[in-house]
Amino acid sequence: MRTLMLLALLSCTLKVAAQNAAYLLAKNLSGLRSIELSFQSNEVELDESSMYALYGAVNELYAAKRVVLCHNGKVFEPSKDDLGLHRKQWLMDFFRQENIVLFTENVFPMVPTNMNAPVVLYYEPYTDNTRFVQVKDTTYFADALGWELSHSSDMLTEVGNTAKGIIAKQDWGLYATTQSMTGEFVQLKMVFRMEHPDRSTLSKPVTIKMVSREGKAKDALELYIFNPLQQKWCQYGSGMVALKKKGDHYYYQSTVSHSGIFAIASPLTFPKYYEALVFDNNNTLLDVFIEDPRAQFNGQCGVQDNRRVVWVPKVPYPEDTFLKIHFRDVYGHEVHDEMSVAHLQKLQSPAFRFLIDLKNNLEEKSLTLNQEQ
Amino acid sequence: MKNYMFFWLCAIGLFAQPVLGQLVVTSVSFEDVAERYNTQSMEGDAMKWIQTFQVHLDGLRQSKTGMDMLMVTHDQSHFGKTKLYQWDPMFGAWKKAEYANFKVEYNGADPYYSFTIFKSGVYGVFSPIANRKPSILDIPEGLKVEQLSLVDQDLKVVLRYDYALAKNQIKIPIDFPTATMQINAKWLDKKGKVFEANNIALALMDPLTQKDLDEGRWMLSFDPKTLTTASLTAKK
Repeated sequence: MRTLMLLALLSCTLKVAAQNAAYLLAKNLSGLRSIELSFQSNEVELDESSMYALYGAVNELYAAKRVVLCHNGKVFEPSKDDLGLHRKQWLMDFFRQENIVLFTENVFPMVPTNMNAPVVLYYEPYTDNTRFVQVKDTTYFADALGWELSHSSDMLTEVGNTAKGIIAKQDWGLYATTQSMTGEFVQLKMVFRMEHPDRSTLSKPVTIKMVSREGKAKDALELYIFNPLQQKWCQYGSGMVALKKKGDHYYYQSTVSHSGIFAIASPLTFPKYYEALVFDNNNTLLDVFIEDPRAQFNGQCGVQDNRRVVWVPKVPYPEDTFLKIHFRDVYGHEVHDEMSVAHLQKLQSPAFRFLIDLKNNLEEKSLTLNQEQ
Repeated sequence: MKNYMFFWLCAIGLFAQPVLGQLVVTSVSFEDVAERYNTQSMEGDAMKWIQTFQVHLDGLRQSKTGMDMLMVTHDQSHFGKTKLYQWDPMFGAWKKAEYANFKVEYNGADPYYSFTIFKSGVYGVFSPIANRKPSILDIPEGLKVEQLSLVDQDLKVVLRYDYALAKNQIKIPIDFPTATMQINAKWLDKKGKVFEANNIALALMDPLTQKDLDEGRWMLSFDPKTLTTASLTAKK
């Protein structure tokens, strides 16, 4: 009798917990736009009406602030013919192919009760007017995004001819790296343009103020300038960025005297920070690039001088983070390959076992390998 | 390459305008280094090639004040470790250029080298390689190796042994040679027949095993029967 009561209590608790999770999810999704998706019967692909709906909203999805995928547990669950797994793979590949950024932490195995389809895609569209708070007190130039320039009056024409403005977050991908010249990764807070068409340096320094949309930043901030040739960020001058308060708003203040693309960023303070992945002995690694849709880790991974070991940052979402591997085989052919960090970590190849040997048994060599870090 | 040369000459011109007539600077490519020089320091360490160039100052300009030079560079990976070296033909190795005051500076986001040259000669900017623990290369008994060079196009490293080797063991200043490192060798077998191997990948001559890598000792197969590469030629 007691066991029965306990079981009944447990089932009630679980039911309440599930209802609570569904409620929280529904609350979290309120205000988001939704697209209902269904699969063709016994097929991997989406049905025609779902594809129409998806492509109808694809422009909004590219620049969406947040994309959330809800699915009922059964649709992607493993079965004898692995249809569920193949469907999930197909859908994720589709998003990746269409450059729709869907993070793994935004995939939920439940669908709100008001929806009928087995898979529902929610998204929060991007709107310009919610990005920044405008600075009211301007000196010479200010735009709707909330920044201002202070400069001497004799530079009026020079600054007027300069292409300037904050670069929206969805365009940061054009500067396809979040890596500094020293090889460390930085977290971009704000990217802005201060490009004179003819000059590499401005005649006098210009003071720039920009509203911080994050409020008071917790991390130390530095100013970087983009080197288009190296595709890396270079610390600009002393790199000093002041964070000041005006009324309710915090704003960044810095001074630039060069023409270029600048970023206010904080160096990533993740634990130092690499894990080594070893490739087989018959190939020579030329380059390994890491690509993270969250724009935290975009850049070059450190390939050791033996061209077999690559140091990959410990990324928080290895499933979404991809390595683009470029290597040369012994016949001189250059080969490009791509795989997720999670997949690489799971590889139980002899090369991976070699790594274990290296760590456990070859302390001396391990130290040698670490020299460059 | 043209842009690079342009910037380089502009920089030199800026600082050396009064003496431009007496200064000749020519670029030395990595292929030239692989053919005529190496990338080893006087201490015997292997180094990574970044840039090399030849400077000719006339007699009057071999001065105490030296010639300031600025050189635009595209290499970013080893700042702080790069040094300026001068080729020493006597020792067949690179020695550190003394009093050169070599620095890496920036113009906005563009880095450049700043240094002073006092003498004519061949100069190079190199950075140390990480895997410097030496390993032993064994050559099978009965073979007489006349010439041996190891060239890594990707790592930009050249090791050269031009003299006839007295021993059948060579100490190589790299502990993990890359699989695609190219071997150029000339050797005689027991009957005095001359063989040459040109640009054969190391892993094709003798694949490196885990044991080789662990022990830091590897034997290079020079047996022509096992080498089927077209670039391997036998001369009568």
